[in-house]
Amino acid sequence: MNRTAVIGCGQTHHKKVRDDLSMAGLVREAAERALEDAEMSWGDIDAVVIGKAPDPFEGVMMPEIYLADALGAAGKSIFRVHTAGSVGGSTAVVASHLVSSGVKERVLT
Amino acid sequence: MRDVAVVSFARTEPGLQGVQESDTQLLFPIINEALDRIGITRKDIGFTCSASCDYLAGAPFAFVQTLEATGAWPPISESHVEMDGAWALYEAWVRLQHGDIDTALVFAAGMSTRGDMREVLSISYDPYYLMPLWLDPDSVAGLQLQALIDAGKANDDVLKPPTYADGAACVILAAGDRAKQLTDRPAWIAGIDHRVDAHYPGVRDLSVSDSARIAGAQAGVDKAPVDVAELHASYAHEEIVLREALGLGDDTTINPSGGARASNPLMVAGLIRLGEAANTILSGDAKRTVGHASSGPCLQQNLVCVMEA
Repeated sequence: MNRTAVIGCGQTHHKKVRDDLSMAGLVREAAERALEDAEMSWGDIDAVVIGKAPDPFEGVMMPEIYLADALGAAGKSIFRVHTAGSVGGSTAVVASHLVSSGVKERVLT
Repeated sequence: MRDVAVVSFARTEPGLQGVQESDTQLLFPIINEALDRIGITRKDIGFTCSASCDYLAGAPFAFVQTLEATGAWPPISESHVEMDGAWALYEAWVRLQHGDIDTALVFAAGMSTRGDMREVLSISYDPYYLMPLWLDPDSVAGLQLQALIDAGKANDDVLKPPTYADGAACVILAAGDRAKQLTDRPAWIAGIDHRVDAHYPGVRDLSVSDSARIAGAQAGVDKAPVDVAELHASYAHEEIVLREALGLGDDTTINPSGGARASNPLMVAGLIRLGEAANTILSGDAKRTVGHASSGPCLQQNLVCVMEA
């Protein structure tokens, strides 16, 4: 197994209501901050892993299909984890597996 | 990369309509069948990954109940994707690369005939720009068919949509020597990759599928002749796009199982393609096969798995 490290993180500005951006805008804000923190750009990413549970929260089925563009995933692979309440943690686990197994090198999750 | 193979596959019969049982009840005998074929039990499985869609079950986190079919006590190591089961297979394949476990159970289930899948799929598009148009999957597929006609790649302008069905499927993966112990002819995964295109149908050329082409190239489809290809073409014209993207010629038999148009259980159909492609190797009928799965409008996302005897 390859050693795997978290090399950057970003979060959205947390507020009760973010009516200033769309769902895509929300994920992009966090992703851009993470890339900035890691001193990387979109082109450095091999794959995207997004965790989201459940679909009915926003009324969008399979949101990874819609969010692929905002997360710079076109031409790359995007993977959507859904393990109910544990999804925040398991998404990171699945993303780390892609790197520790040697399948991908730099994953945005 | 560690050698991983499909060693067993089981599925419900095609075309099931109006199933009254729950997802779990449908899955239980299928999982039993897959395990029985290679003479192992649930206790022998190192990792479990499943796939489903909350909207088909009509309840959030509905998949949690299906874990009853895996006998999850003592607690098991498992994960879940809200994608087609083919992607659950991909996650299990990745997990097996670590080397600490040798077997994985992959399954998917869904009742597509309980609701209107055209309505369900219409909420899988951009909620700000596309959903308000009430873009439904048939209309979106029609855009691709028109693009194919305009590009001179198709003649028939009658859209042939799929027959939605209820279904469940189960695949068991095993690595290295364990695979050889469990079956005489493991379907070795020679390459597996998945890619996604931009979401909006208007920003890409719908007569081709870049994501299918890239995934196929990464999986190594063209390294040797392909005997059988199971393509997840829910609409008849999608086969035209996929054959071109994967470089499949006339010497490849396409969808001997009947394909996804004849029977389309959402979230399971892709895993069934991979399973059926593997099955032709397990049975000794084929030497090299391709299993394909897709998701999103106009083949936006594609997974390609190349298997060899």
